[in-house]
Amino acid sequence: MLSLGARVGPAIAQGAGGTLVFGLSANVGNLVYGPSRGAAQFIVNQQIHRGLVKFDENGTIVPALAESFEAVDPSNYRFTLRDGLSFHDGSPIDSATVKASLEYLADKSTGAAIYSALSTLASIETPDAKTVVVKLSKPNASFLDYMADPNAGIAPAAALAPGAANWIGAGPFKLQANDSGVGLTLVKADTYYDKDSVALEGVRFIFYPDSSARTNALLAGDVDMIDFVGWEDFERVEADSNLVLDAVPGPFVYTMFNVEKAPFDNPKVRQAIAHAINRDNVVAAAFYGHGEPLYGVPMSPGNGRFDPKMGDLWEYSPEKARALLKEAGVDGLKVSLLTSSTYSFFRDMALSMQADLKEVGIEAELDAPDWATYTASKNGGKYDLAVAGGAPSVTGPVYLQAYSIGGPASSFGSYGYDASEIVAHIQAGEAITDDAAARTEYMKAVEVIRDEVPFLPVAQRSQAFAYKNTVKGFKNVSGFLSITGTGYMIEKAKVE
Amino acid sequence: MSDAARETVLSVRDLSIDFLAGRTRKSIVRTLSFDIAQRETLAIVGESGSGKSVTALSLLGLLGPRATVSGEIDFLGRNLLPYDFHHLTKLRGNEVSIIFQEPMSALNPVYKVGQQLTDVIRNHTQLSVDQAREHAMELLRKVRLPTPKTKFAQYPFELSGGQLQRVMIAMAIACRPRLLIADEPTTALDVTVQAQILDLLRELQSEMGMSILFITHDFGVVADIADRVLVMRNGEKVESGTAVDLFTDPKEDYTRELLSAVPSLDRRVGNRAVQTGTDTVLQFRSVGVTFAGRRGDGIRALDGIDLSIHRGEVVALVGESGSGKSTVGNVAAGLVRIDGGQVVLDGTVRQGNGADASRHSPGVSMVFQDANASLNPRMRIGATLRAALKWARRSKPELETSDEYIKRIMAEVGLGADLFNRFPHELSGGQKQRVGIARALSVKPSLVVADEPTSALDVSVQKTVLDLFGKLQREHGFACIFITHDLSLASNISSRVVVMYRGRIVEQGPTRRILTAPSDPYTRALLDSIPQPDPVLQRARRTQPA
Amino acid sequence: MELTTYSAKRLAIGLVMVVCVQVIIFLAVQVVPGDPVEAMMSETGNISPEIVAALREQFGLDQPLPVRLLEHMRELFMLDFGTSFQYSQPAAAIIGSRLLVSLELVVLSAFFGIAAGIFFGSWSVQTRIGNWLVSALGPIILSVPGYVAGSFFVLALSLWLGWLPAGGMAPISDPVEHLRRLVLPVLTLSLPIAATIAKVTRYSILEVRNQDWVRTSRAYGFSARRTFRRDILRNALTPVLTVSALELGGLIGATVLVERVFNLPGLGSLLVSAVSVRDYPLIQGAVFVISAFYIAINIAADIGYGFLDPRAARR
Repeated sequence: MLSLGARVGPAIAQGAGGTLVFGLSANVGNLVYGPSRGAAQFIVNQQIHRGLVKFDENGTIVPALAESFEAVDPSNYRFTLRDGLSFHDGSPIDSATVKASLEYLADKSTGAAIYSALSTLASIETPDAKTVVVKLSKPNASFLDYMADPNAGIAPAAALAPGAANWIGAGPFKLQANDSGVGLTLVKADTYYDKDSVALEGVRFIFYPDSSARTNALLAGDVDMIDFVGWEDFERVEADSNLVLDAVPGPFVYTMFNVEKAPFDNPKVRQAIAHAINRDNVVAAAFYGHGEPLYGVPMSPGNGRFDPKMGDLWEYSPEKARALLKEAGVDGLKVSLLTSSTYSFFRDMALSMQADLKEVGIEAELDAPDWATYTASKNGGKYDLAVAGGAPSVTGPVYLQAYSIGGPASSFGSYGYDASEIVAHIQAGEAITDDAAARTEYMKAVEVIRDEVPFLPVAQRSQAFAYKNTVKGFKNVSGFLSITGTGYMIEKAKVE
Repeated sequence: MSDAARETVLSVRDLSIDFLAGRTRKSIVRTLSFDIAQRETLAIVGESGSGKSVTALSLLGLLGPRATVSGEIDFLGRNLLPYDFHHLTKLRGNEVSIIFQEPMSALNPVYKVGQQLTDVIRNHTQLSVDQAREHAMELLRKVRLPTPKTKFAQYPFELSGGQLQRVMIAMAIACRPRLLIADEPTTALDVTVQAQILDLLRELQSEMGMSILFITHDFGVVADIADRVLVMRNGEKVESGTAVDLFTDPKEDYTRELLSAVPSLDRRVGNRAVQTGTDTVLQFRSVGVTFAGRRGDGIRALDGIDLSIHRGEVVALVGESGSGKSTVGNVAAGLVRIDGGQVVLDGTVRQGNGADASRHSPGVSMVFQDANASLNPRMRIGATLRAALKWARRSKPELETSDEYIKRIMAEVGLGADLFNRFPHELSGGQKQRVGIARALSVKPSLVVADEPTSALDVSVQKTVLDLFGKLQREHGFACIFITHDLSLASNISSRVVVMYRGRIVEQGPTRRILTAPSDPYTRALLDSIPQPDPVLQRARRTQPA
Repeated sequence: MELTTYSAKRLAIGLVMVVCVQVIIFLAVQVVPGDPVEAMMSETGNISPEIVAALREQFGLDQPLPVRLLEHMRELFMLDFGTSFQYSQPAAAIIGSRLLVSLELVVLSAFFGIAAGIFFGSWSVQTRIGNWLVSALGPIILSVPGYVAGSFFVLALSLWLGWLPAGGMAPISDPVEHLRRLVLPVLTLSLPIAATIAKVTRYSILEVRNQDWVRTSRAYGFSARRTFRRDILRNALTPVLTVSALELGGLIGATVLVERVFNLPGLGSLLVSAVSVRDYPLIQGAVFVISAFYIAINIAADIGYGFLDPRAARR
């Protein structure tokens, strides 16, 4: 721990696929089983660990440790494990291992990120060493999404305790050196079930928490690839012919309302805001133009349960906004707008909105504390309007539920909002196996969202990886999965 | 004493020194010539600005790049001009040594005295460190530094001024120089210490046979040590001759003027009538003052002082540095907290340990020793005086603060109205001290504390300032505590003398009695140490057994 | 007072101060709004309130404040800062590895900055070029903020010229690369120190040069060089020491930005990120180390005065 030189150790043998040097956007400390620690940790998790299923480059769920899987019905899932699975240390993986891991994640005291999916766990049956049958008390069509989450890897028994280190997994790479605060050195694991298709000899993560330092490292050739390219750096990367900027529409930003008190307890006022915000300006101000305006709910491209109409709920029309405000009988509104000074795009988005609100006669006073104070204010309902960011970990419309349910029950939703109607429609959709039939149920929920505006999606931001053009086979997965799915692409990459 | 056959050590011919001040050249010394023979002591006497110290420093090329020195400086047959700094480096501290006025600042504060001495020895000899140390210890014994072994390992700040001057002398004689330049070496010292240092120099001279060039402004010291005297004024020689001739038969008016300005004990005693009112202005009753040390050990600055000052009376407070005489003045002015006894001023009582143990007393004004430091350099004279008046008006609302009043006061101390808008740096030393007196006077005090008001001034200036002060005192009739280390001065101005030693009053009484029939042995020693401006008398005193 | 007694006393006071700082920072950081769990679970995943509650319990945040403070002080006594919320590692270990980086940066920058400052300050008194350099270039250096200078160096020396890497840390086992990567950050940090120290040295020398003992030194036949070293520079160093101690204290703060620009895993950037997500164990541990460092510098400076100026030790 106290040695400066623990990072590299012996040089990694250069194999056919080379070693990928990856400039990672955050420090990753110890991996701990269960809780979420943010996007950078997801990427590391996805190299070390592996769950029953994973996402492919199109966002489709494909087998991982499970050789095959089957949704018997939306509350009944059957997984068949591959032959000869083992962890990096050689200990075998069978249905009992999987059962222990899933039961651990279903225990809320562990703080597991996917607890919400497993809270309805009824039973896990292991008829034989290769078969796992998961039974839920309530239908959940998105269950497999959760099983593909970066935090749903199968872990050995030693990791199943709060705070225990979780460095031994079943993923494509194993940890060789952990240089605290500097980086991680991973080498290809020969225990991996699909090791023959992994070309890379290893991955070396170097932590670059500062966005421009990260871009500089790529420009200077110190690293092969970086994640989370700052929007202000897009042009710099694109200008370099040796580099590839791989940007996709990613997570989204939205506005929350405190519906506990006037004026946002009135749906008309919320609708007015939905028409008042100039999304193009937000994209220009917050993301340097690198993003997509949203006039409806954001949708994941690979998922068949969305209806294109869900993306077309509101329009930018200050006249309509003014008319709605007049209809609601409010005039000369003064509201507080909560944002955070920690992230410049949060602040810039709020500034852009402030101008739009003024246009329709609402004076918004900015409240921009640091991140932790912001979350406390947001979760405590200490705001009228708030800007927020969303990165759903599931691809289906079920994600809307978490953003609709009001705080304090859900930290993503508008404070005090009662979303029982929306939840009822979504749950009905989740119970239907057929995508087309389910779509009509989801659409009913979205119509409520259109009229009630429990939260207001504003823009989908560009999420970019950037890499040298000698890196082949990598692809940034489009949509929300840019955060939770792209990590699975690293094992397909090679450095020429 | 003078022996024509003796070898001439130093012969200076037509020495001229210019200083570059900005773009102009200023002549400091002009065509000065003098000789010093072996074993001879030549004293150069003059007031500040006469060029005596510059002459001394020029001999060793210590004047710096702004000075141009021309003429001839012949040292043992070698002409030192133009300076060959390589040669000078070998000469300095070796064949020619120099000691300075302020021993405390002439030694580097961060090195132990023994080391500084050893460094000098090793700089000019091939001695090993141990041998040099050995030699340094010998020298310290030779200059009669008490407890030399302890002092050897102490820093300059741990030694007294007299002890440091002994160390400087040890440094100067370390390489048995042929010529010792002594630039006002006793001016900063107490009179008893001065006598000892002069004795030491004389003794070393006779033992080592060196010549001494002695720079001083004090005719008492001249009479005590010089074989021959050179009087300088404005960079030129006024006259020179043997000490006896000069004192008994001065040829030049300026020399006579200087000699007459010297305060002398014998001539002036009792010039002032003992005139005391019965009205007591200030009374000390067993006053004690302790200055806190850092480790809780206090320094007892005053111990059981009983003292009364009557209206219209001038009391001289005499003692050496550290005797507590200035502290008495500060207590009277309410600047120092007393921790025992009580002080009664104009009927107001201040109690030791009371809340008012230190409180500024509006009836007291002070005249300070360093007139320069007591004036704000950024304030015009008029403004300085007005500020004092405004402050005093808080307790004496009847005071005037008009420009006319201020100018009137200035005229009273002999300052023209044209100085009203001048800054302190445009004034001479004597003028600045007059401003100090004007400031003290302007607030119509009942008591003036004058803390060595003339000791920074030249002897002729000192006399006029003193005369002025006496005149003003008689006219205004304020009581006065006149603090001085100089008994001669005390005899000139006071009707009563209080002698202090180590925080106590050892003797007090009418000036005439104290000076003629002192009862305390310390007072006697003090009187005996005062060099008299009469070489014959001095020689006679010296031959008496101590 | 003896130097040892003096040092021991200063040390004891220093320890008390460190403990006071700990209590203050503990209360300050926990009273400020913001919850570590909520802050960390910010943007990703579907975190329900029950999970937040579970994690709070895991981190011991459900205990009342006085209990946590007592527990913290007990742990602190054994130099245990607890487990970092963000990194799930012992805070002491994280801080330990980061501290080495920061210390290396601070020590190298202070050394080169102070050494260059004293050199140029001395030089400026002796030559016209030196004088010009210190009085003209110094203010320019001082007016450029560290992160601007750092970004400029990255742009010029690594992105355009490609002479040095843009940032990051190399292991000490590869000393050449390790030092190569430290060149730019150390340059960035030491330049303003050098400018300040040069200025202080210059004025201090100009003042000491007129002191009587310097004349004594010349009057006793010491060479100009020896006089400068023995009687001018040595005495002139006391104010330089004072300013150096202040600069060294300021360095810890200045490293934060430089660590970001050059992607160095130091204590400053660790503390900043810890504060933004309210990672209490890390904040408290880092503040402990930084306050101890500050106080140690001050003690060292005080003891240094004792060596440079014997009067200081006796006062």
